[in-house]
Amino acid sequence: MTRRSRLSTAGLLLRHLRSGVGASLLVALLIAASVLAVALAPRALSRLGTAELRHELGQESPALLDLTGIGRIGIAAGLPASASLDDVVGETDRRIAEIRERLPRPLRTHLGPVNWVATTTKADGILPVTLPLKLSMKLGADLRWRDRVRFTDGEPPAPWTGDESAPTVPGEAPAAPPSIPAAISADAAKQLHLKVGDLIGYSPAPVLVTGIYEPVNPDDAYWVHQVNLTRVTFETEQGELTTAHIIVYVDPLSMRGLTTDFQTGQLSAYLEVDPTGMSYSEAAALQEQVHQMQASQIELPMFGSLNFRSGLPDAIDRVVARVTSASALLALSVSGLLGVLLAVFALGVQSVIARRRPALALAAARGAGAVVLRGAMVLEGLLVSLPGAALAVVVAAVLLPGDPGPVGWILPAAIAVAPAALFGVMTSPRQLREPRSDLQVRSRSRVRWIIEVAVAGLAVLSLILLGRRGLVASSAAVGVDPLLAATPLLLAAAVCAGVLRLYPAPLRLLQRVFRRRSGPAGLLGAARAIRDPALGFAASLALVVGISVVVFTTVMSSTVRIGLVQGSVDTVGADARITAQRLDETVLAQVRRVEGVTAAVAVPMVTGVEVGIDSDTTQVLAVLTDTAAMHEIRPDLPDLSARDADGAVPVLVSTDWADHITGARLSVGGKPLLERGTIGQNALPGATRHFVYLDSSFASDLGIPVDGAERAFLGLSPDTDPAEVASEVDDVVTAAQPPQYRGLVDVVTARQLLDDIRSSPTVAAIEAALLIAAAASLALTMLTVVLASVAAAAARNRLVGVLRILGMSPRQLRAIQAWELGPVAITAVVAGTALGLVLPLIVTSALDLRPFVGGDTQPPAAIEPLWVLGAVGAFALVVLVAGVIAGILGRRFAPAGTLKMGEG
Amino acid sequence: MTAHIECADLVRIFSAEGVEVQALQGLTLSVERGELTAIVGASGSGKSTLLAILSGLDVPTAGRASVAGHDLLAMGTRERTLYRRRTVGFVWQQTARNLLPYLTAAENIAMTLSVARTPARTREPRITELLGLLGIEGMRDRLPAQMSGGQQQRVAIAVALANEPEVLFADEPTGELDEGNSQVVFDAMRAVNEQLGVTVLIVTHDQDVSAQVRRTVQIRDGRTSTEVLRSTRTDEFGVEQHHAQEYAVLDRVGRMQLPQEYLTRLNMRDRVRLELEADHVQVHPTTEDEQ
Repeated sequence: MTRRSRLSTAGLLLRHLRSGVGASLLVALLIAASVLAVALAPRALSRLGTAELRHELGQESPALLDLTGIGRIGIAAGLPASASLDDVVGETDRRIAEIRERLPRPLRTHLGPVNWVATTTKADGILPVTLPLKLSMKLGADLRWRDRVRFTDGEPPAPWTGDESAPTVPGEAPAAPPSIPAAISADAAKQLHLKVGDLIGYSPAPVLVTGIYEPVNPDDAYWVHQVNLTRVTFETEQGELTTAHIIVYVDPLSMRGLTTDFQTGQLSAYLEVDPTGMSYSEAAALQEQVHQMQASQIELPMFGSLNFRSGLPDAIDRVVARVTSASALLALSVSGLLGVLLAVFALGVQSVIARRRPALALAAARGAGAVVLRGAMVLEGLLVSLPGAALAVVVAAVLLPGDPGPVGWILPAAIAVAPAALFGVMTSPRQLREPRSDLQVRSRSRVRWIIEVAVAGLAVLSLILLGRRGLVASSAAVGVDPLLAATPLLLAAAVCAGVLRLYPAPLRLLQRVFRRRSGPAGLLGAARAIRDPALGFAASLALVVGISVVVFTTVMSSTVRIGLVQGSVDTVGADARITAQRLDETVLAQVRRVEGVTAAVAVPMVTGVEVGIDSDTTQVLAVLTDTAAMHEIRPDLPDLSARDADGAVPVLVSTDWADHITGARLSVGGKPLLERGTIGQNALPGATRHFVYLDSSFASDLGIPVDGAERAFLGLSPDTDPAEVASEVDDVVTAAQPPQYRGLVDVVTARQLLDDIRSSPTVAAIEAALLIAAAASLALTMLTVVLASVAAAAARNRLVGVLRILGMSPRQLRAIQAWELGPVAITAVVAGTALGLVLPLIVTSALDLRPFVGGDTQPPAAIEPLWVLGAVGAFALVVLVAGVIAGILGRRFAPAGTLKMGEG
Repeated sequence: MTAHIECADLVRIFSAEGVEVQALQGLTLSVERGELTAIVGASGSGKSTLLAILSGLDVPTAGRASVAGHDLLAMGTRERTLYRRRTVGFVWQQTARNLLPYLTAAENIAMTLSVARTPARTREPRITELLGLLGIEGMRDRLPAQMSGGQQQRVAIAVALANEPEVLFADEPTGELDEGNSQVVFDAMRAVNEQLGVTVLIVTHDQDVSAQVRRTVQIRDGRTSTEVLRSTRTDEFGVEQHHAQEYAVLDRVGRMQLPQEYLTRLNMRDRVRLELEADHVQVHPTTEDEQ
């Protein structure tokens, strides 16, 4: 049973590296997993940003998002009747078409072609049929309009043959100009009772309806930009006739004769923004390019011009705010995990070094210098980490292709070379002799003291900095806020150091108690826990951070969940909200009869109510409602229906205004008001910053005219389908509106809004990430306990061997083993839970979660005792299972053998 | 000429948690080049501490120590490394500390040669030479676990000699061996001493071993107390006579330790009376009156 001896240095090194390969493989696996995690994270974050960008922009209306240009068209005056369309607007059309080509990338790649429509100024029209409304009409010209419409009746209009600028012959009555042929939309024909052949009175000439059309593609963004080309919109001002707005198409060549009308009118152009191909990495460039475009005017022939505007930068701002808020939250959860990972890392590295110690000590004794010893360990570190790390990076790139940015390369590389560096640094020829940890209860190492004090100082400093900075959105430039991400880890390390320093004190007390008792297990267990703890700093740190991550993610999950619900309720104002032109008691009575509606309260808002402040007066908004019914829907708003003992009318004052009127006597129409409290200025959607909230029963007494409401809040029973109720309420309210207001009814429910928010990629990602962080933390904790316990197995088995010889029972031996893990685990659970409960308080006071959860109120940390107890229970169970596994693994080493082998 | 190994007033104090342990309390020792010396003493007398200091693994708290011209207190890291590599070799009691379990005998020797940067091509003949010298050629390609204790220790000696050291230290090299194997290992060390001229210092408990060396130094309470010098003379009948004479060690300032046995038998304690004679000093126990 011999084998061929290798005598070359390389061969010897190979033999050396191949021995005890199990521990090295474990470290390799750990590194590969860590590298995979940090290689995936930036890629996932970048993809998350892209997904959120496309989701958010996809939900925006084209009218808001598209690059919309408003300006005027330039047409040469006095063109002959023979002038072609190209003579009239050919140059303008070409210049407008070039706008897109001149835009820089990446903006250009996400834009559709330029569409433009020229319209005249609006002028009153006279309908052939008498209707109770006024007509406000514009003529519209679009070179490509015929591709967009299909005629349901009549035919396309011919070019107008008249000329508005034709000189009048002195002394002669001007000849009546020919009528302007035009096409109208099917909706206009229906609403305004128009048909082919009708003449609409208009200036400079009557308009002849030659055809009726409908859009080929009604969903085309074109119709959103030019609503009145396809739909009539109505406008009502108090005490006046309703005005109907329409635009009718004329043949583009009609512009030849209507030069002035079109030049004084409006030129509208738009470039459709297509978010489907956008990526998050382009967001900043897109914003910048749109800003630049907005800043400059585009000049067109004959003094025409266009100024572009877009809601794209604002929409991107919202996405960036939400993504950074989400990534900060992700970073926080990951930062804790990274702490556990580092601890496990240190344990793995330590175990490899411990395995190598005898060989290194022997080589050192035979005259190997520090460079040789460290070199061998560095080489081993590289061999252990590089292949797995490289594979992990490749896997990450295959799973989530794309450029992860510099962080996506630097972090994995740092983790990959870390073991080699740690191996090199931690291999000190001076420390190769077997250490005796039992000689000193507390470490006297000055370096450790300095590090611990520095960590504690940094933790306090970061807390002070966070406190001073207040509530801010996470830094957009860095993506992840380093201060916020580092604080939990620093706190955890400081708490852990403190715990390790303090925990011998209660154990000494226990030891004293056990000394008086007869059983040896307690005394011995306590003594070992104090003098020779099986789990060192790294393992204890992993336990403390592990439990704190689990508790933190549990509390943050609750916070996000409750915050999202609260945010959507805040935005809506109640379970559901109706917005319509007229909401009177009759409509609301019908709404209340809809199944699933538990309450419906109108919220009339009266502007310009004169409120007396001591001897002064000011005008504010008054929100008058049935406060008792409102209290049922919104328990946060009190019932104000009863007068004060002095007869004063109780009111709530918006917080912003309350700051201005502290201590003043308020009155309306000479009647005293009593400020019962304040109401958040965003508590009632639709209200302005300065308002009073009072019961509608006092309206007539105070002389406040209430003229119907535009908003009503609904209470819904929880077991109904909100979409169904909303649609039914919409039907009921729409049916009760006058025809022209029917399109203005809007019913939103908090639950639908919540579903919308939940469907956003970041929310889904956060909810998943918190769960993954908790699960990963539990798994790493288990690994830590097993690693640390197995590492302590040799020492334990020596002790067990001696104790067995002394006659200890297996039960007592198990008790001694339990003492290894018990005190550290219990201390970690107590300290880690406390830390896990404090961290969400810090996070919610330092990180602005509002862009993420919606609403205007920062969600407070929501500690749900049952969930927290469940999390702690799960953690305790994991530690227990890990302890049992470690016990079973440890038994593989026979105590008799361990005793015989001696100290080795 | 100075001695090959020279220790004077060597002190080594270990301290932990406010407790101080004086392992060496002013030890003085001098060994000439080419000598084979045994150091004996009870457990805790400081033998292993002395060896750790001499082999360059530990540094004394005070005193003077030099081996083959190297001042052990003044050596820098580099000189210490070279000292371990070239000047001294050692053998410990436990095989685990002498040999790497996953390397064969030849590989263990090659590892030591590699540490000293011996070119790969000269390793093979050197290994063969060493294995031959120690009579374990057959163990060349075996792992330590496949050898007997005696064979393991002889491989350990071969490893210690690999880089041609001037001094060989051995700490209880036969401590874990049976009588037969002990003799084999000791014979190997004596052969090394005689054939290669290497100075050998053995720390041992083994009476059989100490009885076979010319000089045995006894350490007590961290000091050298007595020395036994053995000599062989041939009498007038041509028969070899073995003589062993025990000496007390006198240090630089004239202190010496009397053997415990003498003290007990003559009930000597606290004070003794000295009388200077023409060619010797007499030590008398004090009477009760004198006490």
